[in-house]
Amino acid sequence: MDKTVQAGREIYINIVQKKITIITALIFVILFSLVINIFVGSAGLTLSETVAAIARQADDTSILVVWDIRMPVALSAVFIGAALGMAGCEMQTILRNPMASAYTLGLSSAASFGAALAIVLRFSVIPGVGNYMLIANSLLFTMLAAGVIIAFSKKSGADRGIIILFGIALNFLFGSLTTLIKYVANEVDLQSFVFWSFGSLTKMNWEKLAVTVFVTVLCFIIFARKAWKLTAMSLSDTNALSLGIDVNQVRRNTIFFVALLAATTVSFAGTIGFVGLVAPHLARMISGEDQRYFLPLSALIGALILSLASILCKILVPGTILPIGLITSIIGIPFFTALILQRKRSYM
Amino acid sequence: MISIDSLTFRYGTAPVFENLSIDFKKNLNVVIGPNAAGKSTLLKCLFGLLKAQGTICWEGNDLSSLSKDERRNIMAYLPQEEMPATYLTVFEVALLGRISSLSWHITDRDLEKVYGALKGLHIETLAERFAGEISGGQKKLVSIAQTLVRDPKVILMDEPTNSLDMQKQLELFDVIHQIIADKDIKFIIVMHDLNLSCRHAEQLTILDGNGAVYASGSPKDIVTEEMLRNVYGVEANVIYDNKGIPVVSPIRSL
Repeated sequence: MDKTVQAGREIYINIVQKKITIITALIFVILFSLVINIFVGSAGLTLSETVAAIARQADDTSILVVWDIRMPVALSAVFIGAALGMAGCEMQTILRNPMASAYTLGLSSAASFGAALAIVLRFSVIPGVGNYMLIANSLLFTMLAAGVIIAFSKKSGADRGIIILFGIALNFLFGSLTTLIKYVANEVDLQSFVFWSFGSLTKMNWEKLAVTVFVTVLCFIIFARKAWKLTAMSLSDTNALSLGIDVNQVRRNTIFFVALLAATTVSFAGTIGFVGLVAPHLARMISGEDQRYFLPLSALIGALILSLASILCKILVPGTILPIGLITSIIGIPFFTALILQRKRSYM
Repeated sequence: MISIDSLTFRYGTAPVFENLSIDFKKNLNVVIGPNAAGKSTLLKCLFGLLKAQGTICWEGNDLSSLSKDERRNIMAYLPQEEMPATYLTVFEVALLGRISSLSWHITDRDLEKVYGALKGLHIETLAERFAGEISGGQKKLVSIAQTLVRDPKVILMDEPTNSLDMQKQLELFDVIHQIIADKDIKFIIVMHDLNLSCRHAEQLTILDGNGAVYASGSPKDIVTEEMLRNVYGVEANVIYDNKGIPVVSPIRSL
């Protein structure tokens, strides 16, 4: 009896030990990148000045630069990256499709459409929200898109193939509506919308960061509590059903919270592509699909990618901050391609 | 063991079977029948994935009076399709069988059950491999391990020998016989292969193409040339081996 437990424990420890080590290591690497990110910038502070400013032991300007500009941006990179990684992880899980991300199913197009309404037409769906017009619009349309998908899947008892198809249709719909708005926009508005759509963290402040942290942590807790159910979703639907899991319900709930993550990230930072796709992919290679590790790893890898991208977009062209969405895609795609090719070889 | 009484199931208005009554009495029960006879549907109704009219009893107790969890404690169900290319280790797939009692922390009991099941099936050396990258026969065993960790009383299997070669098919039945002997678990298995069914079934139930029971009993008594004509629409020879087990040799479609 004890021998069986012992043998089982040995295997179990072999399986989880590496994952725990990597998760711990990643947390330190992310903290390190966070400090670097706060240090790097155009104001020309030295490392010791930066540290002094973090400790609020420097001149007012330095403290202002560090506390009001760099820290919220650096922390946002970490939390938005984590949100994108998590959203991608769960979207890939419930759709059992490695090409899915938070932006699949037209969720980000819906958010962009809301932003376009705000930037170009200055139309607010909820009247009287003032400066929050863009955020409110994005959030509303993303949740609307999610609601339509959920209602649709409820009505048709839809499997994932139909959900994906319907999501693609929504994607085109909102994409076309956004194009329509761009078509009628004047030059100035068009420019500011295009710039918004590049994806950027420069507009982040403590307030927006707090909302991002809240949503990210909330969704993490919700997903983590369903870790085993979500893990079972990576088996076949029938297999998951035979384990007593209501696969359609899990799918619908997850879409709702992924939409919340997508809405938050897009409305605050625009569309930052690729992180949500690649982070779960890397996480899966490390941890497999046990959600107790797959979920945190996806979040951490997403956080690290965006944190590094945030550093890069400040140092690549000195004196300019490039849009972070461009960096993640341009640097990320060759890297990602190399990774896939390498892995394919190791499987053969 | 499990008995069903006037079970009716319809997809829309078209009945798959009507007023079906079968009494599964033995340890190893096999259900055969032509395509679209409702074999898989019957298993899904037994397990509760599909809701049929009529009564299903376990040891004389109506299953509809039990909760979902209680029902799943009695029965486990192995679907027909092969496990997808999942990035879960064999150990984790088997562990998922205990999902109703799993928490973030894995208990000694979980470890014991999972390792015990893998070892019993002689696949403990695969435990750390991804379930997506092992062979078809091994995947089937992993699926069985996933049901065994729950200590079910009955295991329902839908065409488990599909896509297995001859040796793996025989090995699978060795495993099933051993589970019956060691753990006193009963099986209801849907099959296509008549000869394999005749060799291993203690009780064979033949569904005809119209979703009715053509015969149920010992293979020796019910697998006849006449049955093959009536149920499958084929001309076939039935010969008997030295143990008196019928062996079917099909000749042509009628």
